[in-house]
Amino acid sequence: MEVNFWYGLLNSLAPMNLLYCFLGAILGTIVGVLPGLGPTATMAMLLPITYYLDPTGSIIMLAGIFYGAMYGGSVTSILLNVPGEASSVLTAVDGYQMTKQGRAGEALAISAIGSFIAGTAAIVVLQLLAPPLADFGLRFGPPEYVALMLFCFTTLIAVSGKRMSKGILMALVGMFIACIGLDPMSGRQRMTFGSVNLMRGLDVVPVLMGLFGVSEVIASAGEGLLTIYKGSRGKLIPRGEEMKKGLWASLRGTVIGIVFGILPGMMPSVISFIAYDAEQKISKNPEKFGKGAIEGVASVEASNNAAAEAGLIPLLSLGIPTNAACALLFAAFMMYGLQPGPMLFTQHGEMAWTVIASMYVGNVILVILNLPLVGIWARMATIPYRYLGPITLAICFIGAFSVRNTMFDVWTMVLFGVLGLIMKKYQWPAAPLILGFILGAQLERNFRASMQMSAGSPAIFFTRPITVVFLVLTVVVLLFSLRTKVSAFIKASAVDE
Amino acid sequence: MKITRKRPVFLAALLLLIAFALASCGQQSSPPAPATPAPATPATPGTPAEPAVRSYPGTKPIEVIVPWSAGGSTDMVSRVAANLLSANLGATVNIINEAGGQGIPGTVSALTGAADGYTLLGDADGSNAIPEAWGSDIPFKVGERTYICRIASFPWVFAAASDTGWKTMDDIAEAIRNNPSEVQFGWLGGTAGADCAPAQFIAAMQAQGIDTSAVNMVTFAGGADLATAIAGGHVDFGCVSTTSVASTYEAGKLEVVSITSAERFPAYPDVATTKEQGWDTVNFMGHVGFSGPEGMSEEVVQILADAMAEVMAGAEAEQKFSEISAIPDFLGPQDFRAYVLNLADTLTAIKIN
Repeated sequence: MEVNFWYGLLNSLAPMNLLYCFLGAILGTIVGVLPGLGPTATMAMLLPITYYLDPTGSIIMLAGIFYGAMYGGSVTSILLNVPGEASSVLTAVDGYQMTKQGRAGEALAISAIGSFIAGTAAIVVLQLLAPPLADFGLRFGPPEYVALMLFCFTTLIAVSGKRMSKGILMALVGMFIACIGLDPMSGRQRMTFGSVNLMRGLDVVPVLMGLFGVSEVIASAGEGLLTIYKGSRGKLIPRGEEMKKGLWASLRGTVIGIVFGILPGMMPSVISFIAYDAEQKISKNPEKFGKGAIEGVASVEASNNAAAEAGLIPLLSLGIPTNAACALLFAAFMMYGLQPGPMLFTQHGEMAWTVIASMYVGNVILVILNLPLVGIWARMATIPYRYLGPITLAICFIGAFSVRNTMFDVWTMVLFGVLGLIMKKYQWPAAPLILGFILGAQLERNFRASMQMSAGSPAIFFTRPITVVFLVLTVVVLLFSLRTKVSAFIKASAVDE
Repeated sequence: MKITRKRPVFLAALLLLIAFALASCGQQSSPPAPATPAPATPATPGTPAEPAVRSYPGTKPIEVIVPWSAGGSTDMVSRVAANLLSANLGATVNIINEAGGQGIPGTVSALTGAADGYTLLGDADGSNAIPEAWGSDIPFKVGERTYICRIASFPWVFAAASDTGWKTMDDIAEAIRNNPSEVQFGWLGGTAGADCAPAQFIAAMQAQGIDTSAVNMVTFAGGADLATAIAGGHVDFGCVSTTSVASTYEAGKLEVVSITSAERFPAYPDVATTKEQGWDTVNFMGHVGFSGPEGMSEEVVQILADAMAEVMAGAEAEQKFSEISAIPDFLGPQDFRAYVLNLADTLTAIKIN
């Protein structure tokens, strides 16, 4: 029988492969749900299984954990306002509002459906278009990334809340704290004050879990919150107009996720900001965003899922791991003496196609698994907060530790928890800080590399086509947003007076 | 009410989740059934071995702190070694990744642990000779640790962008001689193992009277970024790991110009070594070994080194290391120490900038 996709599909339905796929999906969902625990730590923990399982089985399982975690990631964002990773920070914005309105079921369902659409679409693209897309990704060098990062900064406007100046200031704070640690170019210490721990630099997970998770739990406890949601359980699936809006937003999020996800330097978290911003811009009622718009949840969840799975495109077609989790998949291949890349399909076609096919199977398993779970998760919001709060806090602590196996990250989380409380009190938005933190480090690195490439001449940003396109886009979006912002501001001040 | 009745099930599920979360805090390669008895402790004549030492490693797990993230070369070699060691000693050997800060905090964390043989360091050039030779304000000295054994080494390759048309080291040197300011040399800023062979190459070119000062050194944050930039033609060439460019080379996205190993490497049968091309001094090989805090007892060191030597002689080690593109390259405690100290001196002499 010819070794192709259909062969792989049959193979992936073999009982043992199906079992590994199921195990991976369920493990991924679990670690995705738990704040702070991500696929990376889990895959690292399970790397030793490569000694005991056959390559196909263990890669299927590890990949399942990777994309399964994207499904679970939205749960605590939506229900508790506690995002577990950077890519679901924006899920919380509208998701938590929906929970408070008794629409937790709808939010969870649309994020599962959106994740399914995105996951499946990304694999179709991976299967059919991987080599040309990966080639396109290679055309992005340091100058292109600089322009792209600048473009990403325009999304600040969407996530800054009422006062854009506060958002910009917070983004600057984020960029500032991203500098702590070793200079990425020379290895010299920056703002470490001689502390070995600060040399590690801050990791985004403890920072965001402090800002969002710890501060949320403490603030809610301080307010004397009894339960997050008291009323009866609402719909478990969005209907009619809501469903339509959610599905369209999912599709748009999927496209954005795939397009940006194939670029080796783009992280799903940044892409989710782009998707949210785009959704808000094209919406007829942008003022509903932040108050429980289903499109906000759907587009973010679809885009981060699509982006994560699109990250497999450079991995499987060129052997380029685009993030920590992909690096672990790469390592798992290596442990079997296999090299991810074009040769994988010619030399180990059976395995390669089985793994690809298993991802379709895995996404089906995940959506079947997650839709019934919606009811169970939604009930979580009705648990008395005196139980829910401490458990959440405890999991956050474990999650922070698991990132790099150090207490330093736990203390970082506590510190940012306090900072988050203060920011909440004075209504300083936290999402721009995370955006600045993530983009700042990348922008610096790519900007300095670009300057080294051109021996210090900024002309490098204006002579490369892709760079110019993104710079122009940045300016256009900025002018457009500023115009609407300014007119909104004038209206608002008129009302104030 | 229906909801209340189902709550215990939910709570049980939550407990299960927490239990799982706790379990994920340690990463262990579980010991296989102790079919092989622990090797007898070498009896030191004259000095009676202390009972505590004789029972090493016993049932207490050995922790190997790897100061880099999971999936990197140091991590993979350490994992393979830990698994083999665990089978031989009949003890659990856990790999703990403490990444960040270019390996320095993780190294400090391992070296300041108890010197009882239960805290080891997955040691590599990036955590011993390189910070000593090229780092600034490094909180440890290369001589102040207990060296146990070198385990494996691996070659580096020089890769060039396809549009350069460069096929040999001479092509690169010629381009630099003729037009240094047009050449983009990608590296990691003098902070990592990937920068050692480039430092040797630059020193060798300077010895031939080639002025390298005008070359554009473009710094990348990691080997994968550098390999991608070469494949995309954003820099002209750089030194990368064998595994990071295997697929892009296969796909014809870049040229692999040379390899630093003494002999040709199985994964790159058509790539000539630097030595074959007449660049003998560009011969840096990366290494991974185990070391520990200063002051570990000689007995414990010997138990570990002997066990490692034993497993390294086996066919399984040969196969497992070659699968991750590493070469088994054992050195005992004294030789490993001498090797690292010598490497630190060599690197100090060719420091760039």
